[in-house]
Amino acid sequence: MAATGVTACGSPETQDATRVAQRFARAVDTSGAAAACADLAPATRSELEQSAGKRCPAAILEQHLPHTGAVRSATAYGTMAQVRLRGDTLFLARFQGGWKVMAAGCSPKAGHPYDCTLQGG
Amino acid sequence: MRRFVKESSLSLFFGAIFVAALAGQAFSGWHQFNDAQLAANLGLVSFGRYLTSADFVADVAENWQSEYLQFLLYIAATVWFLQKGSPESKEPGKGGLESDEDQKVGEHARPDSPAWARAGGARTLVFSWSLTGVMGLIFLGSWFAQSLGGWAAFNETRLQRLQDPLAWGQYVTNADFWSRTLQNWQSEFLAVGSMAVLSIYLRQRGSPESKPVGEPHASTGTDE
Repeated sequence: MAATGVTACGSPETQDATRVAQRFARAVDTSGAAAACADLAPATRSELEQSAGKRCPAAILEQHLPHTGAVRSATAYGTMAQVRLRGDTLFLARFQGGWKVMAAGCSPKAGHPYDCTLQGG
Repeated sequence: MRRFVKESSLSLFFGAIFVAALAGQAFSGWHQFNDAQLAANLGLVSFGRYLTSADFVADVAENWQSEYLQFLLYIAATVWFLQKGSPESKEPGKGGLESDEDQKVGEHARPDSPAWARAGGARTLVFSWSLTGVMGLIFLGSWFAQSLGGWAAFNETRLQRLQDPLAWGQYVTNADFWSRTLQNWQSEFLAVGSMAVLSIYLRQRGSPESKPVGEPHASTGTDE
């Protein structure tokens, strides 16, 4: 399965993505703006700064991302992962430095992509 | 060694161009993948990681399965279906599995026939179908690999678009799987069907896939 780019729930890839998603959510919950910004994908960070007209640490806490709880599920396919936490669904992308949050504050919309408070351009 | 190369030049030639083409596909596919990643503001992957990626597995397996299906169908279809004038066909009236005498099996085997052709019973039955059997297994294995690779690659794209991934069972009934599959099948069926028909009227001097240049158009089979 690993040779097809699919990684199961307990695989190292999925565990790494889950760890980053939890670290990001914890930073948001505890107002750790700088830490949360460090886990954002470059395009997501620049989209946030552009739309808010201020630097990421000042802008991210104004996004009112939902408070999150335990991990409900996590899956990774190649360079992408989805981590569902209680209260939020996050999409992550793998870069050379590791997993980064591409979208957060995401709610499902039947038949359409998730509607996300924070996402890359 | 020299003799081996001379006697096996056909398989060595195809083995060599296969490896070269696969290497070229891997290298160009890696660049194409990273171009798409760059355009989507996503991370680049190393060549090693690309070789184990869903994208590469799906691209390789979808072509393999269709090629093996093509030859599997051609081998099996030419048992029963005929094409008058084609060197790829048996003569009219000879459709079917043929007699044991024609096939040199059991008591009709020659001293130098393969042991399983002489043995009779289950072993001769298995050996009689071994070519289609192995081709069929490779086809099914490649098609299954395509389904896994295609599924993972499709889900990777879905996640980029902020959509939920699909289960494997959903993917194999999805248009992406059937589009990848049928676009390969139709081209294989066209190529093999047109070869059967074109070889009635056209020739390639020296090729066993063609009738001799002076053979009449109406002659069927290669032995005439």
